[in-house]
Amino acid sequence: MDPISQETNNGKGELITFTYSSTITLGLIFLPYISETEIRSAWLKVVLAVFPYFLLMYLINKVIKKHGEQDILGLFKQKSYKIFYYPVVLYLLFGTFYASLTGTKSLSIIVQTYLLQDTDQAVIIVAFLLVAFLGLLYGIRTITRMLVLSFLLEVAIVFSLSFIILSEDFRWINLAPVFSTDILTFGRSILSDMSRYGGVVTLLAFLPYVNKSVNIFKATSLGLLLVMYSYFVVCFTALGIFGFEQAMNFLSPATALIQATSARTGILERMDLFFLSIWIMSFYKIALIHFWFGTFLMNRIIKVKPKREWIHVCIFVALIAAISLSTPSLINFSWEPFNLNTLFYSLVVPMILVSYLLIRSKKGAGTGGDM
Amino acid sequence: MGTCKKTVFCVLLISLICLTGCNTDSKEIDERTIIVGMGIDKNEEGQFIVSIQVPVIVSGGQQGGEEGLVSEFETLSSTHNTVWEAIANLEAQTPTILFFGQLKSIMIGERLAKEGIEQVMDVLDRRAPLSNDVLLLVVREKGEVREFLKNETQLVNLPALYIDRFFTAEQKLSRTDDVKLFEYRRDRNMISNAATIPLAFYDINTVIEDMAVFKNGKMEGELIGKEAGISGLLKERKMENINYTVTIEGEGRSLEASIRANMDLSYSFTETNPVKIHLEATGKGELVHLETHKDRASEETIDELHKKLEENIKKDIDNTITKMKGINVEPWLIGHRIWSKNYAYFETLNWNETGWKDAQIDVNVNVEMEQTGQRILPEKIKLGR
Repeated sequence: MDPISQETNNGKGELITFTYSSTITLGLIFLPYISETEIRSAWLKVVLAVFPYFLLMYLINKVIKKHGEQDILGLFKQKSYKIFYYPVVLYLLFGTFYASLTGTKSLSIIVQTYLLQDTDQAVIIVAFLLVAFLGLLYGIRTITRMLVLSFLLEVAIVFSLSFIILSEDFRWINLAPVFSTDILTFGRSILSDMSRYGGVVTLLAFLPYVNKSVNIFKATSLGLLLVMYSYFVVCFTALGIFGFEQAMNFLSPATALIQATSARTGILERMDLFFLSIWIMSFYKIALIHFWFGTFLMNRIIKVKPKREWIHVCIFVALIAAISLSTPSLINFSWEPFNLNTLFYSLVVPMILVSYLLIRSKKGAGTGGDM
Repeated sequence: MGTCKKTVFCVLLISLICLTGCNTDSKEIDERTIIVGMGIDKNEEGQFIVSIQVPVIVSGGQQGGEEGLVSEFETLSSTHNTVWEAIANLEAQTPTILFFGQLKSIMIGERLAKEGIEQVMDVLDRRAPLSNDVLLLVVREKGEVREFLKNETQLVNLPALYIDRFFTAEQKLSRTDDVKLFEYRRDRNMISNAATIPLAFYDINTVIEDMAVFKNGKMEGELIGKEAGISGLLKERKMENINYTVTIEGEGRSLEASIRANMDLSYSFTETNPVKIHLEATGKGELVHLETHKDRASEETIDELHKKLEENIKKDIDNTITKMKGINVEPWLIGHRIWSKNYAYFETLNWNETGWKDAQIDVNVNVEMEQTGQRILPEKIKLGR
């Protein structure tokens, strides 16, 4: 099994923070509506869509308890054949790359729209990737510290949005009807929304760095609950304040909400821009997590010595930069294949993987593992 | 990897510093023309007239000269076939770039409002620097929008700021109400496609009262005076501090009484075709004036006041509803409530064509007198000498 770094001292707090940060940003920026076709009750969808991920966390916890090992990918390598292991890791790498690429492109649109209207998207992407690259060189320990640093601030902002329900602008009538489609359409819609929680797949790489005494299921569930509540609040308040037709057209409903409800006084005339700068920090966090996950997977395919890990970082970031800069902006981007792929790589594949590990006995390694 | 990291770090840091220098968005405040108010209207040839109000930093008069003679703002105008081109022309008239991030209010000319404001709204919606809580206002046709923007008032230096201050102070006159960009858009998207925007004009002073009524982006009518307050009651289901003066019979002569009321409203409907809508308005009143101190607010007088007040409020509600039925616009979310509760039934009503016009609405008003005076109680009877 691959030697895991000695930095396995991350506790419960770090695990909750990592779970929250790994998935919140993209979901929030494009909340409540991310597809071309939408239904009114996005707030209900995000609540229901989290349950399969609870199940995944439960199964991961069972696997860890059964095999006494927190490195799920390492365990899979040990218990299966190369012919299965490498395609799975390669697919996870592809999914992470696709998500990272979409995230980078989305960031450039958000920044250009709200902050730097006259700046070329290429400049925004290069500046963003350079800083992220630097962060990656310092490894997961530094990244985790950064996540913990801004976690409380981010949660406080999202939770403060809950009070919008009490404002005069919030109209309960905008929420009705709760069920405006048939069950099949509603179900399909939930499937597309599950991709919002897709970032938690990165936990597969983070869990080996968590202290063995931590209850994985409890901590990750709490992180997921926080994410779910954050999504719910933004969806619910955006619908109540703006109505369905307006909310579904916003590039960033969370920013629009803060614009519409914040008091405009004194120095903080444009509070929304202040909040936006916090979202930019969130973009860095999610980018660092996903880029790091990507390099982790690359290391599982082509193993390098710790002091040579920067080569993977360079390759991953350079590829993101090259493709981001050479492809057109995300205008009329088709979210459906992206959502389907995210759902598959973040839920279906890990679910199959952990189910397989659950049915495998504790002892008796597969014949293909090259330990 | 220590040396390598340091090298990479230094190279990247230098690159980042260079990048910030190349940033075209890096504009200092003196390179920006901050727009606080914008007016949009149409001329007789159908071209858009766009006016902007820009604050000018002045010392308040030259040294030794008369104080206060220097205007603290400048109003610029441009005419073009499209709004965006007119804005571009305005930029050509200023030495710096136009910055809409501090825009407080947008004034729309009545002529443009009657022709339709959808085209203007699209430009406003797409531009991110412009906040979605900008206030909207329709300027009456008797004056031009650009002239309205130029009018100085003694109370607040910049006309655009006057509007912002007026609505921020939440003047509880029940004669108008603020409407922000996102609120207009939200109401226009409701099932009746109707929204309201406050009306204003300049006549010695800036006057903001009454509401313009829009359907599908076109101004179709007005709600004048108390109708605007009643409209607020019908839409938001509550109205605060509406004033009524009624005349009642008391002590052998006519008495004039002023009452201030806070009202709440509840809706219900019966699923018939046409729909029967029941409105239940309940509220609490406060006697603020009863002709003279000598006139006592006796039980009979209070009863009489109840009746008169309820009659007046009911009459105003009926009149306001009839007025809106006359132009077939329903700006109070009544149709939306039916739509959200029973869609199948709503579909049978043909709401926007005939459903609203034919709706049978019965209004029931119930007001309770809560106070007969806050500072004095003139009803007390003196005993002895």
